[in-house]
Amino acid sequence: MSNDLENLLQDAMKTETADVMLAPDALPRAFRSVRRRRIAVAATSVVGVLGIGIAGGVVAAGTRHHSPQSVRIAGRYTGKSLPLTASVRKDLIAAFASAQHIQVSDVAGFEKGSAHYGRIDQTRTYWAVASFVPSRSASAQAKVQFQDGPFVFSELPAGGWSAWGLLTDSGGGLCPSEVPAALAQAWAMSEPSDCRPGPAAYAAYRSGRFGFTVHVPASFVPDAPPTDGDALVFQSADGRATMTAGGDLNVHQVTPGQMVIQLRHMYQIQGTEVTRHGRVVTARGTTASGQTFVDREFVYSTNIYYVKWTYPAAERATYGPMVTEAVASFYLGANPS
Amino acid sequence: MAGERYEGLDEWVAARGTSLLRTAVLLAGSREAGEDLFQQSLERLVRHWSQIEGDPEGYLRRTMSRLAIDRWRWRSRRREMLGLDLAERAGPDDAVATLDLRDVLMRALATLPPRQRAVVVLRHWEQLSEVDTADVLGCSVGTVKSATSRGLAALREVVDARQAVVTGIGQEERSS
Repeated sequence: MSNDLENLLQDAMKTETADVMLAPDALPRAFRSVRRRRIAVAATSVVGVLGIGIAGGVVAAGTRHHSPQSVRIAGRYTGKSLPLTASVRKDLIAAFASAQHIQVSDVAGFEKGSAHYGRIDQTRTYWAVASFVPSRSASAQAKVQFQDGPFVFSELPAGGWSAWGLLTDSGGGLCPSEVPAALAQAWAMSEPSDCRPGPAAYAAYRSGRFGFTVHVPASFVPDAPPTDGDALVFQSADGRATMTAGGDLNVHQVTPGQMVIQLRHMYQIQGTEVTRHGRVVTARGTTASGQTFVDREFVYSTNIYYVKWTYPAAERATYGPMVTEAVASFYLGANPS
Repeated sequence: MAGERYEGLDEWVAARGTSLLRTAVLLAGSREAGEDLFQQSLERLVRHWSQIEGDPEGYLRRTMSRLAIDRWRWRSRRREMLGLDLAERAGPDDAVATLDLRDVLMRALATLPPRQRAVVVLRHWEQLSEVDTADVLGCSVGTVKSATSRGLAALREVVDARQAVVTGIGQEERSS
């Protein structure tokens, strides 16, 4: 039976691919894409070295060094490009090695001109973008892990860096969709026209009961506030995506470590990842029905705050950047504006 | 076309491209996604061509396999995997049933978790050994063995179910 199945499988695979032929333009297309990518990276590098920031459509030249350039987004949040220090370099390499399951010794350093580091002033969150190059001693398997990138990293207020996402290449250049909007501009990352979607507009929501502020896509509609005031649900116009922002009293004195266990129990779905950085615990995954969920919990001794998202996995290009923006904007306190 | 830096690339792609594209189609679960996967992998090969030591085919195969199971890039492509509807009925004719069984098998392959699918494709299409498959996927031989076993078991279940349906239809038609 086993051999029968294997023979049938091989026969099926042969039949399935019999008329698959390589298009004559496959290699020329690959060359064109590589050239476009190099041009885009080079342009970003030059702008970074000159310290040029773009604010409200006005290009302002800075000094030759990475002097901080603040850029205001929607009149509320400002991003600041910062010099990459040795300790941050070390942390980013460690975070990259951890994300790619390789040794730190496999990493020689950063790809030239690829690294940017900065802060969103109001939320005091730090972000970075970088590509890496392998060390000579890295194995062939480890070297494969360097093909992706650039990586986007986030440092949480409680400390610790994590790989947040990847910049994707639209074919016309890198799309800064995983980078908070304030920093994408501070780092002069232009958005190629073929990136989808265009930048979304956001509104700040402040929880009256828990006193945090978070960005919500302006096109999302809030449900009626619950009577206990714990959470507010916002829905996309078509109702296919939801964002919930709220809090609970931490009556059971749940610690961040216990929250990791709780979320693992709560989301018993294959492939779900639960990560913890200091007080911040995040669960991400996709259900069998194709819904992606992101649940970020901020665990404090008195309260637990959370921002939760669900959206169709197939629409990650649309909603992924919104999740990034919401998470980056979470701020304990009043609207920074 | 490509100059000294890319010496031998044209010839290599012409000789091996179609075969590896077919692997990409099986790894990705659909023709469209496979072409996309192959093109992405080819771009990486072009970028790193001058630095590749040894066999470029191994490099491309490793890249394709890894991209195919990469959670970030391919999560959104799960929508493209075809659903499996065992309620669909085929006639009892043997030739038709065999064709239908192949189709069912391919659709079942597309619904396997990405790593299991990659293992099945590398072992049974590329005919790689367990050790070589483990090397391509960056996992242990034990993982390859268990993924192969689980993958084949899932496929066998689908085939058995399908054959039971076809046999049942044949019996119904003969008795009517």
